[in-house]
Amino acid sequence: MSFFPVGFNPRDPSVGLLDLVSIDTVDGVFRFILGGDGRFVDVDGHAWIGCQLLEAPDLQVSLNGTAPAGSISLTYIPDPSDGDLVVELRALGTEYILDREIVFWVQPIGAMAEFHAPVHAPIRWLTRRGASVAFDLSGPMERRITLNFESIGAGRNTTSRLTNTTSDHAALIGEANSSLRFAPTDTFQEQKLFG
Amino acid sequence: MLRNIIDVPSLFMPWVQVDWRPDWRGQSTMQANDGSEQVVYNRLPRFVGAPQIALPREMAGHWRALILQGQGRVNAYRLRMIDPMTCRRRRADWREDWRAYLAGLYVEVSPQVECPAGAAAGATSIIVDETTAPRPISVGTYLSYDDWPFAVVSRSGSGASVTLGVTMLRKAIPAEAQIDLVARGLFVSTSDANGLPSFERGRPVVGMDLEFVEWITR
Repeated sequence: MSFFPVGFNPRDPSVGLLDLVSIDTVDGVFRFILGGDGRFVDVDGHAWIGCQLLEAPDLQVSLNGTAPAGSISLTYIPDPSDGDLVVELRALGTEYILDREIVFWVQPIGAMAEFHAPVHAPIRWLTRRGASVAFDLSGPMERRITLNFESIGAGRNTTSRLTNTTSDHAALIGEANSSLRFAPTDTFQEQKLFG
Repeated sequence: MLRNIIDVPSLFMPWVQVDWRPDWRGQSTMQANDGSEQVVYNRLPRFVGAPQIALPREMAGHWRALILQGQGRVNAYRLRMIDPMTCRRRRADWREDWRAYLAGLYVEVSPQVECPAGAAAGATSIIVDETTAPRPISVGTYLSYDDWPFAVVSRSGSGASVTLGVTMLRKAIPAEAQIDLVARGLFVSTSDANGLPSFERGRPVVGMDLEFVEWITR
């Protein structure tokens, strides 16, 4: 089974591909062409808007138990006559994207005409979950909005931040168990009288 | 910023040299030692052009007014893709046109043909009614619908039902739509200095090299 659909050969001397990303938010799914321009309408009729300011460096694929994280950033120079995008996004808050899907897609293009009348559906490549939004304001000119995301296994190989107390033990095993109340809570050792 | 469209009448295209062409935007790393090469097309194709024009001095001020409205790379220009290779048009005396333009009476020659059945985006052939055209559409012409230019690669038939093989047909054409025989496209400058030439003493015309790329994110 191939990643690409039947009828598309990625080893052709000339290959057509589009990198797409869809970002799910409270207001619905927004679709972009990563780093390109133009407007692409896929087989389902969804429009993907080209955004040259958008970049997603260091996309990682999960392998060997790593939980790849990453970010999409939008770097731009603010237009004083428009509203302040950073303020608007801060007002929306992290809940706007938290734990919602960010999906990277590959659109195979088999012929030049398929840029405008696609035959293949976009292929789902990476699925990530939104984690946080960060803003970088460098000087008076440049603004960068970074949407950090994580993959599905994020944080599974780290400690669970639970301590040896009755309440944390109950949270861990799912029921109340008072046995840990006898657990020593300090390292005091009685001195030996002889020895 | 909002991008406005500045209409540039064909009067302002007194070309010396034109090279409208589709930019397919292929990218490749490098040719390998054995001469093989893999090209990746991962952007939507667009039209580009670097026309050279020579304006009479009288028109230079109005030209500058048009270009200044463009505000560098902010606004887009609706340009006539006048193409002498396939459309041999008799050039009217520019003074006559210019007087009409100054009086607000300039009417641009913009022949159109009807596309009775329409076509889907990405179609490779369309059927047009050529009876309203001043002359048959020749192969290699650029046509446009709704400011989206495309190219004719073949033709068959005549009169009311001419089948044109086309390429770069990027938008759907509705039934009974009018197709422009002098192609129009929406272009943006590649630099802020585009179209603002220097002036030379004693020259009757103002020559300049322009450079435009099509605005396709719309």
